Amino acid sequence: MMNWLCTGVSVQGHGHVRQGMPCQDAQGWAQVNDTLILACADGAGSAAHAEWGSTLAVDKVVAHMISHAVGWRMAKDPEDHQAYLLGTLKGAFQSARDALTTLAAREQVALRDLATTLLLAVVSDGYTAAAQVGDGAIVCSVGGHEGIKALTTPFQGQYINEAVFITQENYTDYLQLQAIEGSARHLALFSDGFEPVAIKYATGEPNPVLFEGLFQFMNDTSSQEVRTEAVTRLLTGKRIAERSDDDKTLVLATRCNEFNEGCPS
Amino acid sequence: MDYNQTDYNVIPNLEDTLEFEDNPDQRTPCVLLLDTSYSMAGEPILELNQGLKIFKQTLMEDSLARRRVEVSVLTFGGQVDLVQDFVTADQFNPPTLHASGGTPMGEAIDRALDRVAMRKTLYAQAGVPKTLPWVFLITDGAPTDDWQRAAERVRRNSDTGEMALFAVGVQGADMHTLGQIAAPNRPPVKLAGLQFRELFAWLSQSLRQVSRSTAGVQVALPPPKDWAEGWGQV
Repeated sequence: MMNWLCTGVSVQGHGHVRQGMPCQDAQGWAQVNDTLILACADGAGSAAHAEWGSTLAVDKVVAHMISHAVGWRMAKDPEDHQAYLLGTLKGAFQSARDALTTLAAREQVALRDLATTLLLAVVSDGYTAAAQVGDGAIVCSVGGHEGIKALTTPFQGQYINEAVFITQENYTDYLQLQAIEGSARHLALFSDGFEPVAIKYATGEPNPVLFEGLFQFMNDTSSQEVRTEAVTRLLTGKRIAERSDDDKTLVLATRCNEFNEGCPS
Repeated sequence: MDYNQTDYNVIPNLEDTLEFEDNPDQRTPCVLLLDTSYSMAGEPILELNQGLKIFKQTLMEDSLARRRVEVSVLTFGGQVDLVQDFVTADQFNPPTLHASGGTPMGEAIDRALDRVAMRKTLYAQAGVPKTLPWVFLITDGAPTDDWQRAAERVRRNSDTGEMALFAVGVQGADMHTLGQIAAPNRPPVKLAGLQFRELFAWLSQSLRQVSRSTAGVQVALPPPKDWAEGWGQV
């Protein structure tokens, strides 16, 4: 049995505080048997009900992955399992978009009023897979000397202020899908408010010092309350505030080993 | 990360992981390993606290040193406490230390060497150059715990150039044991009276010089003449 320590925090950016906007980021996670599911979303600042969109999108993709994780079996051919995982991620995105469409119709708002990015990661049966539309990124470490890897990268348009959302008709054109062999030992998902410190813009590489430090912290900190408080302080702290006034979300997961005291047994 | 949950802060400070973003300068790490056992009570601890203030002041006078010299404070008085994790001098707030308890020097040295090793890993990950880490041990007593193992580790780490430990004995210190803890090429020095201010002024001047050093340039440190007893003989 593989167990995980997960901590996720979304905080309101001071740009949002100033403009009287709510936190429009959302995040969630679940563990079903040996399968880990992590998600986060960043509602568009320009969308009237972005916080509905991001919250619903996260709920939907997590629910979709849970329902498909039950009864998952390692296929005889490992390639099949990888394809199955990627197919399920795709399905999860479509179910989130369908749910947004339904909500928009029910609340009589435009679908673009619910515009949100969406990031989803899953670790299952020796594979780590990720899907993303829009900004933010998913990084992982498989342990050993492989270092920190980016599974997805922030959307890059011609201009920095271009953005893509799952509410777009053609969102699948921007859907990043990636699977790697091996169960990640550590994972991080984050929204674009965290990007300035997390990604080196020159190279597009994740900041190794930051993530090594965060993963070490997850490994060493058994109390969920302490972890949540520490991540909240990081996200609201002055070092990040100097770089971004947007909402910020960070979801961290670390696989338990015999040294983690806080892991469920 | 190593956070003593009783004395430092219950909540780990994750902002530490971002400091090299803001300041990619080379680093000169220095652990102050300070005896705060009961025998330091009274004037010695007051003078030590004054010394720490002068240490900070002198480092701040140097625009390079304040970005490059990293200070960490570990105390041993009854228990070993990480009073200050590594911060650059400009972020360092001199603590006001109090004296109590025994002298767990062995454990304190062990902890200091752990901290140094972890810090060096972080420098490597950040791609930040460094100078030889210094562990500056100040004590007025004798270890009340098992110090032999720590002494062996000091010896090994000195031989391999992991760090350099400097030991200073205040009046009443067991100089014989200190001599066995310190590496042979860096014998302990005895503090004249309670000249903590002079000692810390010298230490910060030395760190300032080291923090300016560039590749392959050896820095000659000033002799500690105005605070050390019998420096000429060692």
